[in-house]
Amino acid sequence: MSRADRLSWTIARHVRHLPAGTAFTASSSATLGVRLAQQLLGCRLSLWGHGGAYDPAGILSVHARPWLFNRRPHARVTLPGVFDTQSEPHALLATPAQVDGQANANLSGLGEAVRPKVAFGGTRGLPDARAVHFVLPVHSARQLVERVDFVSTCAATRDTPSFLFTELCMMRWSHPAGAWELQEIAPEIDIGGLRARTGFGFAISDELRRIEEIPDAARSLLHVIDPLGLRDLDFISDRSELLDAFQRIYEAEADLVGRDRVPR
Amino acid sequence: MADDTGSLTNRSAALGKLTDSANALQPFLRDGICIGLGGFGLDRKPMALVREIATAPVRGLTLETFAGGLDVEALLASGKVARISACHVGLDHFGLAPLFRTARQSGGVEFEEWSEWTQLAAWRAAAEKAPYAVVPLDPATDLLKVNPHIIPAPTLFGTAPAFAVRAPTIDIAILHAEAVHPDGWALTSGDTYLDPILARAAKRVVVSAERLIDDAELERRHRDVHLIASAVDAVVLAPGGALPGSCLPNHMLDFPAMRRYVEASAAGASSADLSAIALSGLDRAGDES
Repeated sequence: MSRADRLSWTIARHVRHLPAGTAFTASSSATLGVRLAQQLLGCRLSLWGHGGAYDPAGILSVHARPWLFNRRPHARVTLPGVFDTQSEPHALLATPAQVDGQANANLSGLGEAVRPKVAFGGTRGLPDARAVHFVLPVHSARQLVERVDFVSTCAATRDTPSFLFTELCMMRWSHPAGAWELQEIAPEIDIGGLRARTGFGFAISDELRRIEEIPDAARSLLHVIDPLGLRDLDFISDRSELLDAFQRIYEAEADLVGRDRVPR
Repeated sequence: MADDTGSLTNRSAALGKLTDSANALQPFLRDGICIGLGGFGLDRKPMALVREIATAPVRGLTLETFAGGLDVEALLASGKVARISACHVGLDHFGLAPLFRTARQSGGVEFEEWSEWTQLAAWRAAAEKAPYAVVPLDPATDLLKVNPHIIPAPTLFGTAPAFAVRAPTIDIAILHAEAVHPDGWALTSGDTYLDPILARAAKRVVVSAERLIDDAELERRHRDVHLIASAVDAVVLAPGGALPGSCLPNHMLDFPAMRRYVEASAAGASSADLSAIALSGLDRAGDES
């Protein structure tokens, strides 16, 4: 079982309970989690469908791999339409650069905002969503920090308590405690080990559970809806390795949709 | 196509708004103006028109873009940009945009940062000729500290906090479409992104396209029209004009070129070298009018 398979299943088990509405996902794991929840668990979220990585003709849009799985979208929603749907129940499954112990997320940069030491791409839609959840596939104190330098959004301002999913745990924001609360932990790590790999302090649920292994039915379905293994890309950090993986996927997709769609 | 009135058939013979990129843009470019860039990320970016601006003798441009990519990179490389107004600039799964990053970190270019919804609302206000729009927003975001054009709005009704966003002044919008009629009707069967809003928000709109369509195809595909002719001032034929990005559903992005860009950047390539890669796809495509 891969880390990606288990993460997708963890996400699926929890987003199944979110109210019917739209979901906007920013990682392969999140997209697959919603797809598993839709198909196996009765989840009524619809993924942003039209602008995804597959266009309606099924052509790979490598620019948008997080949405690679919308080949048969449940709804045709254009980009502006995503914002129009935010008056309805909506869930953003975001992958910011950093999340801190106060539920702040940063997608802008490190250091001074005017002249950052390290600039990221920009805040995107983080402050806009009515409900925001975080998916950081690789659990690392580099991304799970005590305090972010720039608050793109603060998830604690939302009525719906936010989820924080990583390969090693599921935490949920606790409004009463004003802290992340650990609710599920992976079998291969203990709480001390998790604290050592987390840059902020967190509370522990009285009902702390081990993360479930992915059942056979979900694993089989993953291979159907993600035959090229895009979910594993969330865990590749080396640039060359990542580009090699993308290139393999690109070539496979070009074979699928037709070589006439490849620029010459 | 013969029809009952004959009017469409007669007009199809005319050039309409068809011109080349130099004539569409050069007379209208001035120092310090604001250029709106259509498309999203690495899809349907108007790279052929970007190249025209990159070679023009202008300085101090403001770039207004929702999700910038190689378009922003190429214009940064040209040294003509003073300010970028965007909610995000990046190369999607190819990573962060290196020249944008350098520009922010050096302080050489001002970055006016938006969220997606606030920028969309600001563009909609501009399209509707309103001075500002009012939107909900996470009140804890630091955007309120860094962007003076997002401010708390007076509470006129109810108690929920709301924020006013100022409509930008966009002098020229450049967009790329799957197909365009010489009169200015532009088509896409992919996501429209924010192009229809940007077109209505800008004072002048130039659309490049993969190919031209005639009256018959326009009639057949009228449901795919995303830019109405009255919003478009000039039409440029530019097959491959979005390369090395994609133009869905016509073509995928140019993966080898994108890979070259990322690897050259990591190896410390100059802005000029990166710009050459970003605009390389146009050498084999280009403006055909």
